[in-house]
Amino acid sequence: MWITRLKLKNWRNFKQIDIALRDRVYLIGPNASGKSNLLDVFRFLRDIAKTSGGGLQKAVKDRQGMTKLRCLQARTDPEVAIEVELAVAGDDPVAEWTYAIGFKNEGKSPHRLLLNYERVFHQGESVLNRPDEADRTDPERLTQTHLEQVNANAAFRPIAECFAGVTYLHLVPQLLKYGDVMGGHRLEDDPFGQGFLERIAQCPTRTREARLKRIQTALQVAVPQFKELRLVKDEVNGHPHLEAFYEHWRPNAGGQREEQFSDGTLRLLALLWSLLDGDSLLLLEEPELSLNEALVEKIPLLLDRLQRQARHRRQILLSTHSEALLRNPGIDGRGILRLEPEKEGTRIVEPDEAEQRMMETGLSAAEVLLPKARPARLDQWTLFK
Amino acid sequence: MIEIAIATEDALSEAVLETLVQHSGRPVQIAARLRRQGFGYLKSRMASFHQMAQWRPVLVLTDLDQTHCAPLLLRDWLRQPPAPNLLLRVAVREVEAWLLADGEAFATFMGIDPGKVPAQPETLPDPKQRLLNLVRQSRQRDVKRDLLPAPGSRTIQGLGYNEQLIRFVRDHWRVDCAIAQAPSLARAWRRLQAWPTP
Repeated sequence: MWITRLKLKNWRNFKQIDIALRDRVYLIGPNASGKSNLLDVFRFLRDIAKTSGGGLQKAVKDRQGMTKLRCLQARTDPEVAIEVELAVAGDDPVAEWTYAIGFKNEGKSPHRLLLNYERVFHQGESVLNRPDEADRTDPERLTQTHLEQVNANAAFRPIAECFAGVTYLHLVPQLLKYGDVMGGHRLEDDPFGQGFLERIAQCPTRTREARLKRIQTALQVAVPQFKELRLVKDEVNGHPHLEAFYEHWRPNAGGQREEQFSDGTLRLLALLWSLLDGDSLLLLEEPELSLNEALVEKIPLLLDRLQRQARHRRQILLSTHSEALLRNPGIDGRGILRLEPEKEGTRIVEPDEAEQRMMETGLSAAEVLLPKARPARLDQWTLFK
Repeated sequence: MIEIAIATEDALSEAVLETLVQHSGRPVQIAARLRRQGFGYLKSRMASFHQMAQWRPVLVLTDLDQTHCAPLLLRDWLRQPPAPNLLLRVAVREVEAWLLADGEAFATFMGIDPGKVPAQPETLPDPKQRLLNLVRQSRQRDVKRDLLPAPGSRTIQGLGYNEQLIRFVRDHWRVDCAIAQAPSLARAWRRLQAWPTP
């Protein structure tokens, strides 16, 4: 399923937004305009819906509570609200489901975090409408969503599954390379890729081999001299490792382990793996990092090609600052959302008619839209004292 | 081997020049590929190319686009008499016309009826648009999907436009057939036979 529409109220730096989402969404905007905060909405929904250790309370607590979550510009309105529309994936998706929640601190002792409402619609028909009678007699129930409870979400399970399947990728090569040295604290769901190798190792052998083979073929083109990629187990502690072999090596020379891989090779590897893995929404944070510009330029086509062969077309949201990534004039302008920070919170704008018409003449999104994502007055930047 | 530089406005033109140089039969090797998106870069760097051509031959290819005629563009771009080993060629109107000029190969590659590919593609006002319209009749799903915009999208081309056409140029396009249908290509080809002078 794809998430085709998102409405937010008081979510971090978004006071009020209502946007349509396509199957490929590129988020652009200056630093601190809220790109990661926007991606975080989907991680938040996942955190509520996931079957082990999920739930509303924890999802909010992991984000340091309502004070950090609620929009600074919200002032009098204490409620944070999220609403999404979901559609069955396809060329012309029509919204099937709507899921909406509003929640706030109760404002008096014992200061619980309570749901104001939780609503689900299926093809326009109401499936869930809380608070209901039971909630009114037992307000403690409002500390939990029905989404997080297997017993209660049976009527809208596809939504829960869609949210729970959301993956976020922002591999930080150093965390993976020096993981053993730095010792083990790892964030849940491993957003920064420390457990990336375990993830590969846990994949069923045949699928894994097939994927590594495809990744290997891609790396052979992208990384000079690259020849082969293998997953091996450390003989002493059993930890999985990746080994790379390069052309012109002595036949019996050992492979190069992931800690010796370049940052770019690791990030590219993780990107390719995540594209082949899973079928729910994929969130990519600046996939261009550490990659050669000529490679970055190919990312949009790569996403398209890999998805074409996949069994389920995955929805992808990515944030980027890269001119090269948006240089392909084939990128559908409707998928580009620009975040524009303003006094009253960040606005999200789609290309307007004039910008669309500029792109119709063959200009790329990088030419038409990126200049508008630059911070205003940057020309004066070096003059700071 | 004489080392040369080629300068183009996009990846497709670069692939075309590479193919021309390779097949020219001259002892030439491409040592530098200069390219930024669009012709603005080429035009703004003409002075540098003049200087460079003193020691390393430079081959430049640009599209005529909507300029009235090639001599006019040349005069506008060169300003001074070109250094002997600076060769500036113009594709009329766009390099896509040169691709269409090998109609048979193009039709086979796209899976369309060869009769549909226009003869004399250099007379087309917008060869790229014609090329895309021909692709719309293609029976090859993957090729179509790469070259054409996604349904509902307002872009003029697909995400894999360059990749597919470069593949065509490298593996299927025949210069000797194409020159018969494309005079500006034929002229460029003739010049290349005796270029650069040592």
